[in-house]
Amino acid sequence: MDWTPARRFCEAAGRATARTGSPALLPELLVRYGFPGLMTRLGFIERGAVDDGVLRGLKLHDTLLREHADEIARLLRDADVPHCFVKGSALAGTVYQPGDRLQTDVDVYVQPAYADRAQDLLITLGYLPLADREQAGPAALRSALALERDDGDPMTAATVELHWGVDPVDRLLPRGDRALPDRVWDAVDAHGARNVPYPPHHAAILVHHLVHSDLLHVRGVLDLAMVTQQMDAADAAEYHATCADLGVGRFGARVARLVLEDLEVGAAEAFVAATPSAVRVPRRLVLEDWLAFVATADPADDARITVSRIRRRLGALALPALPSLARDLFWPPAAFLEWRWGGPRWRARLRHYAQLARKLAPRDG
Amino acid sequence: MSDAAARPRAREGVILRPLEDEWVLYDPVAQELHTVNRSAALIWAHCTGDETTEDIVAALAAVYEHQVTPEQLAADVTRALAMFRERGLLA
Repeated sequence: MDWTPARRFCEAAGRATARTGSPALLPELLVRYGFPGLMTRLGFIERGAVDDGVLRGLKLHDTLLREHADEIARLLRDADVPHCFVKGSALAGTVYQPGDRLQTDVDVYVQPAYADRAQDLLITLGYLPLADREQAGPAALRSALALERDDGDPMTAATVELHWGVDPVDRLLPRGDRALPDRVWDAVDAHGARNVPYPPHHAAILVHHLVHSDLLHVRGVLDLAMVTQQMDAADAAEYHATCADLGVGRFGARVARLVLEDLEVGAAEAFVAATPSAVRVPRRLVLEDWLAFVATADPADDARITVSRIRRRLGALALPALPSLARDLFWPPAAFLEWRWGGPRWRARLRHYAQLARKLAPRDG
Repeated sequence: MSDAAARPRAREGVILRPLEDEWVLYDPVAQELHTVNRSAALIWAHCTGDETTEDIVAALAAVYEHQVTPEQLAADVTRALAMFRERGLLA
């Protein structure tokens, strides 16, 4: 495994934290970014900077989560439910060793016609849907369901994100009206322990997820770099086409450049050449700026960052690339404002934000 | 009952897993993680409640044949079981 992208990622994280004037922040940020084990193993942070007990706990949690994913994989395969695992669950074992990359849940896609069947099967394993208010948006608009097997112990509990659709990225609310494209299903690799998408498709799904998580899923960037390593020049066109299918064509091109140039993954020329002429990438996204942006966000806020902090941070940090991204990312529909997000104070903020988003106009191409 | 005839049984729910170069026992009730060496992990795997301490020593002897004397093995098993008991990992 070539860990150059991970080293470059660390260096950018180091520079980003240096901006804060507090180098001691780096280990904390690496935990937040989700790679404490990997960074320790690569020697980027000194052994002991992250507590051994924490690392050991992460390794065990990771190991147990993989076992949960394998159990789900066996169940879905035995029931002939077309599916594929993405993100950490897809890369566990083939790219990352236990504890390298923090995993918080198991992400699995099924074809829409099998969503109910998959949910029933997960329930037989002891997973139960989370409460309605903890799900992403109103039930009728959802394209994913979070289920949890909770025995009261965070080490052994597991959450599964069961996806059957892809949410448009220009909407803050899910709509469940777009499935993964056929090209993804036609090429799922079913040879390993878990079904996984073909690398350029997986890369596009990761890009979509990055957009959807408001750029805060930073470990997705390194995931993307590691998946891109598995691609050759011939896959570049497939990557761009799938990004376009998922509505993240322009952002996909931008992130591809970041991965190729900042993280030094090969085949850069092929990727640039394969970028559709209709997709213009006017400004380059810089990893270091991105990490600085995330470093200043409060992780406890998580989803609420979407509607308030991002807007404030964008202005405060004056990062050149991000405002233009923001207008691609947020375009809340009317239903968004009708959803009970937690009281009038939030609704007022959202309304203000929605007005701002409308001013920022253009959609992703 | 002599120690040799005792049949140690792992407490239900305690998890044994390898993590790279070490093994860990996780106690979900206390939410505590205990690192153990390979021999102790092997001993733990035999704490089924069916095998006597003597059986466990014999099982280890088959693995570590010619490497450790029977006396040393017996001492290792006694020490490991005492550690499991002290940490509340046995039923």
